[in-house]
Amino acid sequence: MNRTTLRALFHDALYQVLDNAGFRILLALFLLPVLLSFAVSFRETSISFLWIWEWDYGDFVRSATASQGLDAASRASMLEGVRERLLQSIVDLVIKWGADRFGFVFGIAAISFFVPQMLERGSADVVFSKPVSRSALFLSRYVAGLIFVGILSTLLVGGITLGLLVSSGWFDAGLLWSVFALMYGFAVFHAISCTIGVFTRNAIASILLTLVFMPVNCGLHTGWEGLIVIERATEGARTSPQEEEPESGAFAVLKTGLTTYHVIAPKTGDAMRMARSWRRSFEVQPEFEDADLGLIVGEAPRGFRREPRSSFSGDGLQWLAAHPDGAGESSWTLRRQNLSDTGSRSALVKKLRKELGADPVRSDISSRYADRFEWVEDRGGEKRLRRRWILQVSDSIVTLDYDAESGWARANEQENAATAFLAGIAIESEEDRLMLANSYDSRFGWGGAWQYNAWFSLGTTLLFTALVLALGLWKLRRIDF
Amino acid sequence: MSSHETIVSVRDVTKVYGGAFGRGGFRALDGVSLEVGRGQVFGLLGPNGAGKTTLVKILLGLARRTSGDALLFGQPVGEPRARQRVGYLPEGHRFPQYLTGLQLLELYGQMCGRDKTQLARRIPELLEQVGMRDAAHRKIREYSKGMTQRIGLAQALVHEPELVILDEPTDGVDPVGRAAVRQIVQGLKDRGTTVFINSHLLQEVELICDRVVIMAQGKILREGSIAELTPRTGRYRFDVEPAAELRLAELVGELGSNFEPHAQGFEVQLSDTELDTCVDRLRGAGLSIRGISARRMNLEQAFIQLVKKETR
Repeated sequence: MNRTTLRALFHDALYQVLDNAGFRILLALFLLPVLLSFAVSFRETSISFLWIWEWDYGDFVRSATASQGLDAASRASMLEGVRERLLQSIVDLVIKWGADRFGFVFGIAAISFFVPQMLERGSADVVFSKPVSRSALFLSRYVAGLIFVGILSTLLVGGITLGLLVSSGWFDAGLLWSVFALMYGFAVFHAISCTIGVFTRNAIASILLTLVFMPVNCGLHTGWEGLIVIERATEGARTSPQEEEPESGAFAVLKTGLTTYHVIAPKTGDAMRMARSWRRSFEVQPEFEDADLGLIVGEAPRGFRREPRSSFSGDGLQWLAAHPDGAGESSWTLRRQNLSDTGSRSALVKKLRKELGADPVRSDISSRYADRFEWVEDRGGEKRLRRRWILQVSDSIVTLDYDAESGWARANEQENAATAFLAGIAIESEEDRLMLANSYDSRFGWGGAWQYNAWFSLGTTLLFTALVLALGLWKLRRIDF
Repeated sequence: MSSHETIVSVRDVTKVYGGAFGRGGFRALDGVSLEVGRGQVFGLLGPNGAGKTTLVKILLGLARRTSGDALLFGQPVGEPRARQRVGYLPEGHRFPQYLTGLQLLELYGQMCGRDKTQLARRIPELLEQVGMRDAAHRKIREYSKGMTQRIGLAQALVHEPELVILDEPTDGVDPVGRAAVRQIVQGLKDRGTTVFINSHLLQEVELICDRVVIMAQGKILREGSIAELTPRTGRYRFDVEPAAELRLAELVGELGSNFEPHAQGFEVQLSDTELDTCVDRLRGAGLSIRGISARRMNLEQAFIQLVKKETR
């Protein structure tokens, strides 16, 4: 097959896609969030529409929590990182539900007739009498489907990325990997749809069987992943090898069946995991991470640098900043102490309240209950603003201390920097960490054991897709039109 | 133009649909052999279910033969290369509805290996030829049946093939269009293109084909030129002067049978001896014989007679 023929088949595929009603509907639906991403601007403290109407995040939170009787501090805590969370939720909603769920199903339905239509009497006679092999014609219909989803997902993801960058100054390079994830899943299911189309030569059968395969495949993989978590959790809970109980026959059959299926069948769900893994390699590593407590500090406080000799479990992890006028330093100190050494959190709070003669306010960190004290200290004639957060994580007390020249610290810029720093602190729950440590998600990666290995997943999925296409070709070669 | 070179060669081809291990199934072709030389206009005739379309599909690689050999330009059918020099207009064709007529011709031209420059020259003249120039930019879904047939003919010819296979080429085409199709086929013949026609319209086949094969029940019943396939009926037409009816009836009325006078003379069924006697009598009576023509069966009559006889 020469280049002219290839170009002709590509153009034919493109014309077919552009003329497709399903494509046009999806295009219109996908353009809507793209246009909105340009029109709605997510600023640091407010949302604006078309740069004319503007609403403060605080107003939203106030009206949303009016009936809950939250105090100002709690509301302020809710506002911490609200922009980031809002943007992430919107993007997740559009990509995960809009494109990955609805778009996927609609896309499969829209293009499942490509192959059966080509094989219709009259149509097949014309096309297959041309000096082009059946394989090339079959693959051209497959490529047409990929063009279909390629254009739509690039438009959606690329458009939203650009829109958010222009209107909100927000850019997440990792978001672009969603295009890969969408294409990857679609490439697999479209291959199945094409092959079913060859066997049944019926568009409805092709759509229905593909749409049935999608959730069944997903369910069986999820079942296998659940099995892995249970197995590992059981192993973890076992204290001695003697406790090992023999597996029941039914469980062994189920396990073997699910494992075999997992090995053979396409693992399209791994696409998002691979995208996440690639995304991580592009992301800036967190400033600090304590795996034991599941505590992550996203970024250093703006304008501060970490004291290299400081330690989290010792005197505390310290970030320092010199005042611009050279008058002393400001610091953030994050410290972990054992509960057995400090006594309970409430005892600590009571003690400090007595010392300062002031009441704490509730100021949660990463949705964990935290008491915050704030006072001004006179240190050699200099007014120092002091803040301390006290919270309990597992069997540890975590304290966060802020110590800065009062006037400097109360400047808007410094308050915003402090808010951003606090929003960047994440603490996972113990259950989450236990679950995550055992889950397929956490173990999945480019260098893990074969069951969790991204290369294995990619290889077997591509092999499955190739075999499905080969089966379709084998059948197509045997059809007498 | 030479008809010595064989373009299509079919040797003992059999096609059985269904069945397993050579047993049972429907035998659509049963030991069919034929050859088509370069430059011929070849007609394939037969009642429904005779195996004509199956034979065409085997030639184009659309169906696989059960046994036998079939070659196109000396290459085994089924190979895409063998179809490089073939143009095909199938019966009941369906073209991609999302394309315009122009895009369709570009697509199929390119699929047959023609580049854009060649097609830029070829397509306008072809559209003109089939009378589709004004509708070239309209989507195929907007075409009438006749227009689809015309664009179908154009797609079969777009790459200037050496063999054109036309399956019911005038299906759905009005009388003017049919004449245009005949003209195109004649033009192809003049340029030395081999044309393979499968049609139910026997008068058309009679008008344009050099050789004809008549098939029934998967077998070839008869093959030959139109003259070979249409035997004389023994009936003669005489054009004489003066053509006075009464006198003519007196002179030759008792010779042969079925005497029928007409404005220029008469028609009568005669044996060879009676023919000589008839001529002698007319001359003896001082009549001037302007013309004598032996009446033949038309193709339709010959076809019906043959098929009835063979399938009885």
